[in-house]
Amino acid sequence: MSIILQNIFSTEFVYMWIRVVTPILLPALGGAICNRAGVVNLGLEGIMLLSALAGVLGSAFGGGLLAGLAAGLGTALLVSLVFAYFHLNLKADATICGTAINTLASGFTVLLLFTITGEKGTSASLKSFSFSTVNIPLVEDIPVIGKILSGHNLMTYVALLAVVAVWFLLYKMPLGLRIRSVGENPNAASSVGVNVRRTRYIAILLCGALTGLGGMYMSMGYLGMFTREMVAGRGFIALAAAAMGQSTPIGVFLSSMLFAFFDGMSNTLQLLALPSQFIDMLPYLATIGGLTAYSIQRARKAKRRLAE
Amino acid sequence: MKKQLALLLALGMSVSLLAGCGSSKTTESTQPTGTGSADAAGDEAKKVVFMVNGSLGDKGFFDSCQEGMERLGSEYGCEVKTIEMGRDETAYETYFRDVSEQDWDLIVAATWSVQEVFEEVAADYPDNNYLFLDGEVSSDNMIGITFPSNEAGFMAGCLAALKLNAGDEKIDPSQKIVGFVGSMDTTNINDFLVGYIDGIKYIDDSIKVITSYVGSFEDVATCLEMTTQLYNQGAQIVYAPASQSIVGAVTASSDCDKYIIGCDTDLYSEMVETDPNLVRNVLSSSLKKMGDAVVTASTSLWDGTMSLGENYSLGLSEGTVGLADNDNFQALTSEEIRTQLDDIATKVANGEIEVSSAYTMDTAAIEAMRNEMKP
Repeated sequence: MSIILQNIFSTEFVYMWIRVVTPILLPALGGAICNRAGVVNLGLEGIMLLSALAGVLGSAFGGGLLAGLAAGLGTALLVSLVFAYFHLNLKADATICGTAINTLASGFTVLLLFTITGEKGTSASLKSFSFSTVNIPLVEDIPVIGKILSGHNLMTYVALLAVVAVWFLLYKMPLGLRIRSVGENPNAASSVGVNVRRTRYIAILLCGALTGLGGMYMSMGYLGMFTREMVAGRGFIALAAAAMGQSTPIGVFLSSMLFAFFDGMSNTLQLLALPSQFIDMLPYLATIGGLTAYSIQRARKAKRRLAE
Repeated sequence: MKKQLALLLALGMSVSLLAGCGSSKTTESTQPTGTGSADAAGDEAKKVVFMVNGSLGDKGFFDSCQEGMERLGSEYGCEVKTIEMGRDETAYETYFRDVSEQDWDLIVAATWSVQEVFEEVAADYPDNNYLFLDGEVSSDNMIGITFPSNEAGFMAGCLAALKLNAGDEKIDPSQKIVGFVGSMDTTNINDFLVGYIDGIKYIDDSIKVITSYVGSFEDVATCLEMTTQLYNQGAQIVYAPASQSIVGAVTASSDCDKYIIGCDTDLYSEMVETDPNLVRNVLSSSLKKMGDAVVTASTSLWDGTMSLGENYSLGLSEGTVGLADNDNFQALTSEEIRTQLDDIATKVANGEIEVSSAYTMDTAAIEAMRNEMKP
């Protein structure tokens, strides 16, 4: 037990925790915006995977990081646009659209990778660029805190800033108000002149951009290359984090941190004499536990509302 | 009406996508060149089909098999074809039955996850010949080939221990710990572990081993985190039979600037051109030369040195298992270590050293072995 605590309270663990949370937090914030607008975007996983590959290809063939960023973001926005068109204009079910994106992504990325590199597993043969790590001046010199907060990938800081940005967007900007109202009651919003469809388009695109950044972090920050199925369920965990955080930026941040904590724990706990199958289960157990807590809470709230 | 149409369209789209995935066949057939030694293949060109449960591009096992298939095509004038069956295990039986109905001289499949269905189908087609790689079979029309993963692990263990004791600026002599990161806690991966531990003990039984399992073949990021944890916990060298997620382990070794030993594919040679910095700490890789095995098994069957209904083990003594020898291996290990390793390989090959195997141990015994090695 003491070894566990010793591990968790080490600077390495907290540093890793922040690193692990990044690819969950970014899409979770995106998912939260979508949820707020009344759209459940199940396609986060697929968008991440597609933009992870697009980022690598863009940077390899565009000859720089910016080209990669543009390709990754562009792909994420394009896929989101397709999702939005099917869902909003053609009124297709969001679950089906999201699932289609995920299925498409897992096959299409391999096809594209094979067509371009002749390999089906990794993009190791391409010379692609990665986002650099950032050492924050002054902060990096503070003992303990400097080791935890400084020296992360650029995308990690973007993710943390995105929490504030999304909060500002949702609560301080007219667009945020429109997004929330469209989600709460589209008819009421429409009756006061809010264009429901356009607002949802914007929400889906914003979600796509954030999710795309999360995907690019996987292949251009976490690792320096694309590998098949590399997102490995993080899009779905992000979806759960968005739901559990009740789609508020702070709530999403906290629930992402919770999932990342258990993920990090499972990396550490294995070194102790615990069966690895049990430990591998922990992040998912936390997901189920979190969702259960969330729905109990919501049921209570609904009951209270009824009582009033 | 419009809504229904949209729904139908979306449904159609996803169904066609799913179907597209289900039948993700890529066929690569090499025409007989005629210049090859046709006599090895008999009067007529032999037709060989390789059924991949998954897809090529794993930079390991299947790619290595495929290399052997290509050699059968180019050097032995066989007509070869590879079918990638994808990850949908429910579709495998249909694939196997389809090829069994066709006129292949030899049908090849590999790994434990297809073994049961492969044997079932083979039993229904007694006139066909089947080659199963990486496992033992018991049908009259099949040949089973096993690769002693434990021997591969043993060599990796010896290398790790020898390098750890030899010391280096990247090795902290106060920590006598090495690490192991596997993809799954399954017998085929644990066979590497058991051999690895044996190898380490053979050199120096005061060295401890810490182990982790990614729990996935593809989750590179988790593999990166776990390997980083191993280094943080004091492991000086990590051995990584982690399937495709191995690139995560390599990234960790580069980030932490510690040594790593790869598995099943010569990581250093594969990636040195595109990213020399990433693979600078790859000491070597334990290799199972599946390609050699495919060629050896097929040709031996045709010339009568191997016969149907038997199982064969191809290991260090046949040269199908060993450590990757590349520039980095030469640069990072001393002449003395290399001679010692050669010596050990010979001893394992001629049976002087016996390596334990996970296949003959039960889960509890492996668990005990793993825990006993923890610091």
